[in-house]
Amino acid sequence: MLLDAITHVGPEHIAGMKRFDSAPFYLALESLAQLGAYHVRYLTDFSRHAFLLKISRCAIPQHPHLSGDYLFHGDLLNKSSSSFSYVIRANGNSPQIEGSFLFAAIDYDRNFRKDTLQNHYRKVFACLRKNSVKN
Amino acid sequence: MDFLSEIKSILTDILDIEGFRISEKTYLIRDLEAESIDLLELAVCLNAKFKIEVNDDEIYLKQLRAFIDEAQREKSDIIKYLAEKYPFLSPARIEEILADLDGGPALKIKDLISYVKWQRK
Repeated sequence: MLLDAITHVGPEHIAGMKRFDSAPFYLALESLAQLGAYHVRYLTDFSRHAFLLKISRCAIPQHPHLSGDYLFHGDLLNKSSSSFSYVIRANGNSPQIEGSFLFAAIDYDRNFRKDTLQNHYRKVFACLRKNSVKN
Repeated sequence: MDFLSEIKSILTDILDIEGFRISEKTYLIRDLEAESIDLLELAVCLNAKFKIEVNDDEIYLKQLRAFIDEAQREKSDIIKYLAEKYPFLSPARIEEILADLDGGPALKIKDLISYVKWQRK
């Protein structure tokens, strides 16, 4: 899991945090994607499978290693019944990261099974929300 | 507002194609080979550009064949049945679509325009 906590969640915004220890850039990117996907699940009440479709406009920093506490913010920009676009950014020690992320939500099926995934994501989400109180 | 130009601009960007390939009569999937991932991106772009709610199932006629089967099972008038499900399509356009089913997905750019106009009312 590449999030330590989800510190805020609302209809159009989600925030979270993660402490990195000399982590490569792609792990931060994965954190941002996980945060966005949790917002999609929150919006759909965990009734559908959420996944990342596309990242655009996200510059790779010159020295792409991250250390220390990072705060993430995701803002929902636009949506349809099945797709959701966000700007998600990470603030912390340099480098700062910001990108446009597009997610989709589809019905659970034989590959993405409702009986296991729905509960799993609910539990992880609850745990991350609880962690925000501890932090 | 010139809906065709706006949609053309979105599609040329998503599909990485030249605008001259797109007219109101162009088939979105048959002619432009739009894939499901493209349709998801298009839906969110239509929401952004026109500030409308976009229901992917409706705008892309995803359940068209299921609705036709339903209408046949219930012995309903298919055109009336589909007009209720897709209020943005005229009866004439529904007839056209029904006659065109064998060729594959019948969705055209003009159907997207109809949907946008209907949602903006």
